[in-house]
Amino acid sequence: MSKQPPNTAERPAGGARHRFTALLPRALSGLAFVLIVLAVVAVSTGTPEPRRLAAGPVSEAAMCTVLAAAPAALVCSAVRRRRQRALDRADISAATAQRVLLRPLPGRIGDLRLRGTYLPARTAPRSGGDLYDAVRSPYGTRLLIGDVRAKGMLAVEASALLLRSFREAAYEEEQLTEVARRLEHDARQHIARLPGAETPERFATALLVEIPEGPVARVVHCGHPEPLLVAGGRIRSCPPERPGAPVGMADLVGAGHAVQTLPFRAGERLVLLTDGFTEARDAAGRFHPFAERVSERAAAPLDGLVDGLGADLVRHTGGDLRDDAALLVVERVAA
Amino acid sequence: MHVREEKTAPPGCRARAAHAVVGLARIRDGPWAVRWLVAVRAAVAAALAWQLCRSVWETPQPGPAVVAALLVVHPTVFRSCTAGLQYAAGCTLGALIALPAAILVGPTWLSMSAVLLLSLLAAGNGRLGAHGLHVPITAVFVLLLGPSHAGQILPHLLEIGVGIAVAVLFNALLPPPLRLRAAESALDRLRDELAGVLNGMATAVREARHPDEVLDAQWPARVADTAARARSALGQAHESLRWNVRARNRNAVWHLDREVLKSLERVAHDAEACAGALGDLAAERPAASEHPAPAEAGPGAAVRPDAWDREFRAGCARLLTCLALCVRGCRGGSPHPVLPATRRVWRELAERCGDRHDSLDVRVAEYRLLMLLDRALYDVAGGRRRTARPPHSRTAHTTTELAITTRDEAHVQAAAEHR
Repeated sequence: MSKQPPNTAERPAGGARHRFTALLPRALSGLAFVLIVLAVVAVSTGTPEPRRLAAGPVSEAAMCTVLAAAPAALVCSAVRRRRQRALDRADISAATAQRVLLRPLPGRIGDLRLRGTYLPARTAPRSGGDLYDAVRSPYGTRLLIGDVRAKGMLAVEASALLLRSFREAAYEEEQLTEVARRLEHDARQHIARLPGAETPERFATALLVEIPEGPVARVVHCGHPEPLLVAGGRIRSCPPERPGAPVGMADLVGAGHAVQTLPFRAGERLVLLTDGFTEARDAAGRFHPFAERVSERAAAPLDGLVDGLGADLVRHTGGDLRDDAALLVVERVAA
Repeated sequence: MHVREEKTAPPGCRARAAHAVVGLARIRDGPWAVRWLVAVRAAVAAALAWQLCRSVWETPQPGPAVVAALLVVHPTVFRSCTAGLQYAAGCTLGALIALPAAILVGPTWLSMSAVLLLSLLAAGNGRLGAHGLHVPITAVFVLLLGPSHAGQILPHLLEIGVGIAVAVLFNALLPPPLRLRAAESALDRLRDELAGVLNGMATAVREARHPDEVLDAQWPARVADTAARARSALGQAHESLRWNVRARNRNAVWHLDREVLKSLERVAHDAEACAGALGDLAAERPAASEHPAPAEAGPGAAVRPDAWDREFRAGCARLLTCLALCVRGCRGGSPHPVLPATRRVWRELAERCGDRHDSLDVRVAEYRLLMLLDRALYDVAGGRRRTARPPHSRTAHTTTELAITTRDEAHVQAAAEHR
């Protein structure tokens, strides 16, 4: 596995400038709070002279209010910080578990070179859920990239289930649609065991890819962002001919899975991604131009492409990733 | 799998806690919270302005400062600053209009007429808003007192300035109110309302019933009312972000784009049209299996169970259910992942519908419903259409040249509007 780009979950909150801009409003609000308390005391006493602040019944009431409100505000602030730290810890735990779950990809399978990266979310509690894997099966190399629509450890649990199901089915099933059907079956059983199972909004998007010996690749779409094909320095998107339902929703939609065959020759690359790469926004609200970035780095070596795309994403969001992102790039080299 | 956190509390406690939280959220997001906040802020700002004028300039009765402070405090920083500027501009303009006449002519009927005419013309400027009224008031005040009473005019204007400054600073620095949660809640309510209506329609189609038998008669008005509330809350949210120092902490507000609300409103209109089309379809083809026609109605009216009717109804019910899911996931950005498959189902159903040879009226009713569903799927995607292509070319050139969508442009425009 190649060198990973900086892990956003383990990064500090940002540079000194970021910390300053984050603290400035709080400092201003705190200052304003102090000023307003002093002003209220002054108004209640009828004069701003310090020697008369503690005189009279009204000033005593104001002083008592201030003395009671200040500790209460401090306690509330401490409780809020503690809860935020607990949330951050839980999110980092989920991100770590997800990284452990995603086993390192083999650098090479036959005439294929593979690189992948996973960037957990920086803002709690959004980590967990993106997954990818590659399996060498009797029917060709099979890849999975997916995104479980859940957060935290529940997403990690669902990811583990899908990965296990894929690793089993990829070896056993001859047809790629059967692999998708197995994922659907296992996911439905998993959903049925969860509380409130009647809720239909439990699903995972997935993209299954099978790369046999010939110059083609077969793809099954399950509601996942379409892959990009890098061929001769040009980027082409591969929208599905017959889009399938997300895993866990096939019965609801009534759309079966269908295989799409793409040309995939030596020297070409297939870029599989999750929506964390395309839905990320910068501070001005602009989406991350992922396709443009891939186009700019199309000629880079595989390691450089994957690392560079991860770094581009972190740079675009200013290190403030609000959803985790996974990327899997496979290149067919000349035999 | 979109899952929820499992809780260990007993159901009764959980329900009560949830009810309490919802109640508190309603109070917090309700109109009374804003009124209370503005009233308290205005009162404190007026008291501060009063005390400041008395202690610093030793003015015995600084009424203008109090009035100015009361008029300038608003629910948002932007409106407060705008009102302050308008108030100050109105007073300054009035004084400038009246001052030459007061110095050169004094308070005569001619000068009064001229000053009033000019000040009223200036007050009509839209940029002064409601505070344009202060132009003629200040002008008359300055003209009547004249330069001989400069000792009264200047403190009066100074007090107004102090009142405005205190109110603006007070509203800008002491936790400036952000109205984001109210907008999020209002949009959630609209999504829930709309998804509930679509699910109800799906039930009606599946069970071969008229939509009015499943949905109550007031649902269009209720959805319109919820949409209006969401529009108002969204406007307040965007305005509360302007010039607000706390907005830096909440830069992830892109799910509050106005485009999201527009999409939901368009889907609401589509849902209303779908209900009408379902009613037409029910009239053209009454529930065959459940309610067979009476024998005395004649052989032509005998309705037999129809496999295609059941299939069409099941397909439409699926489309409506998936549309409800898409509505719940309509939060800006990419549409719900189920949408491409839903469009595929729509296409397959439409193709099969085209192969039928029923009566023309029935086919027209079916086509009309399908067209409305297609429009709703288009609208819920925010106006992006990518219909699943027919599978003619399976192997050759199944990729398409990448076209950068206009999504970025739309959001840049939204961001500019937001700023």
